[in-house]
Amino acid sequence: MARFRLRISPGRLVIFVAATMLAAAFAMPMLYAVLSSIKPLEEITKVPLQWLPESLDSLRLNNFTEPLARNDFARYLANSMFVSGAVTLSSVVFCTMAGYSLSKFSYFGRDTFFMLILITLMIPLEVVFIPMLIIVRELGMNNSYWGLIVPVMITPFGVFWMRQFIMTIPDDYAEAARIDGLNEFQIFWRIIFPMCVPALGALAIFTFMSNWNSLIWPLIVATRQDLWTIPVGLVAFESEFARPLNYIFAMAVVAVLPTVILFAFLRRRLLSGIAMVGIKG
Amino acid sequence: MAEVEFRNVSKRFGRSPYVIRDLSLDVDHGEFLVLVGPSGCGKSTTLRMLAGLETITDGEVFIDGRRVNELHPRDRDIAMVFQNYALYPHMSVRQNMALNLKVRSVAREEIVGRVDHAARILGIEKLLDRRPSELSGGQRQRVAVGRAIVREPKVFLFDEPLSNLDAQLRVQMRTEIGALHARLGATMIYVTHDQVEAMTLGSRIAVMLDGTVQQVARPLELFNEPANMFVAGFIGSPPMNFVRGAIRRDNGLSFVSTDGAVACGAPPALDAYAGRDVVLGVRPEHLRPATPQEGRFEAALTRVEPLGSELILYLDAGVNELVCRLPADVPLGDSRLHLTCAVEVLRFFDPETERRIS
Repeated sequence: MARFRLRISPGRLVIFVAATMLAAAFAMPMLYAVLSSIKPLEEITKVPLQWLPESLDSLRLNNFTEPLARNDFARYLANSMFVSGAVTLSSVVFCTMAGYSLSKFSYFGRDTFFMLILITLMIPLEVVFIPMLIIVRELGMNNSYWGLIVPVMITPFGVFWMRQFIMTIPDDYAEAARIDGLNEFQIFWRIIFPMCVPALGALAIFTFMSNWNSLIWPLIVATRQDLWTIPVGLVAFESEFARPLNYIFAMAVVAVLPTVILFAFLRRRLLSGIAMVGIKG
Repeated sequence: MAEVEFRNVSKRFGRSPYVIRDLSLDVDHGEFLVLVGPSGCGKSTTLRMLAGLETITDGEVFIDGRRVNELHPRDRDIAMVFQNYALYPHMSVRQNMALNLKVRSVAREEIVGRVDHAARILGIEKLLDRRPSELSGGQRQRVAVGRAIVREPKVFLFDEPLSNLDAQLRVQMRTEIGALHARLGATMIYVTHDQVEAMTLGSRIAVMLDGTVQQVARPLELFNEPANMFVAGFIGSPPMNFVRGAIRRDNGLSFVSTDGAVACGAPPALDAYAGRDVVLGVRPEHLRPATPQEGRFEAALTRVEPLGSELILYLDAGVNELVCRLPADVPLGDSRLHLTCAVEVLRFFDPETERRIS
């Protein structure tokens, strides 16, 4: 009988064990939330904590249906989907445009401008929320989808990310297109933009996830309930119904589903995008 | 087909030193001109100025008698093949080749006809629906040339198009580009640092150094009658041997190296240089073992490179390092050789100006 020997170095074994433990530490709260989302409230608050529902009879699928039907969660989901989708789309286009300009064109103040963008990367968003809110109000965009979308539709990180990627694209492509007769916008839209797909995929996932999970900005810019996004809805839910944990867990599971699905489908693209920008940039 | 003219063209980037200085050059209808020179000599910049991809600091460029200095690349009626081919990776071969015609709103039937015709010329009909990533280096090269052919431009520009290919494929593609020029009869300007490419492809060759044209001539003229030491050393492989020395008038004119180790005859035309320092230039293939009756000098053999049909010998003659190319069947006795060369193949250069003494 053939004998198989597992060859693994001690160093790799340590890394493997550490990575497994880290993954478990991240997965456990998620698992607890998923299991709790189908339990009745009494079982969730029981001490000592129990992971699985006590019996099949105690499964509660109405944890999902009731908030969706009664508490406008379907609306919050649609809002989140619309706002995150719009921000992602615009971010992908405008960050690529800015990155293209900053990497392939020479003009006065270009590098200073890029440094300024880099500096804004270091400033936490919370610091600029109040001035941003004032500007948005002055422009009459508060309590509207515009207010939720426009201020975040281009990010310094996105510009930096795309600039680093586009810098790795040889100038020859744009020059060949120029000789082929394309104008500057056509060169961007028909040649450079499609070539950015690997980096764009990663940027799209990052942007969608961060906007889907964003709480503070939607909370302060849109006070009207019909504009709430999922995170805002979840926070409001808690105060409104005195901690209905079963519903909160169920809606939290619904809230993370799109990002989990997105990540599962685009994981490969995300990782290759990160590797490409990391290596070539 | 078109004429191209560079008239006193100079180029500098910002305030940095000039990379092209007062370049004047004419390219005739249907001519294949090769710009050759070492890295950084300005050959690609010259080509890019013609293409409109670089601005011209001073001087004028004409295509078919029309001044094109301020003209956008798309309006110059040129096509360019880039070193890395620059095929759009998200488009099929057909789309790559057709893009220019589509942008110019050429009728669909004509686009199909022209793409198919170019594909037939280059033997890439079966590749038309593939993406560039699915092609080998040689196939990409063909597609890049095809993209240029489809445009039917006045001037074809090639910027080191074979540099990324392996040696065998480079030879094959070189032949194909030569055949393409013969077939299309188009004006072509070709940049390379490879002197073999330059010699085999060019109707004329412009040798460049430090932003200036050193000599423009037909390949054999360049080889046999180099204008200066740079051209003499750059064209030919292995390069020409240079020996510093002086012309003496004893029993007739002769050349003797500074250390006295190399001696040979000198042509009567150098009579005026008697007693003056010169640099002797002799090609490796012109050195040969001497018979006892011939005037000769001795050199120590340091290394032999057998190339099959020939031998490359590396020799020391006093302080002078010489390279000699001999047929493979020449018997090499011991480590010391007696060498000679015919007077008529020797070239002499002024040591100060480095220009050839004719």
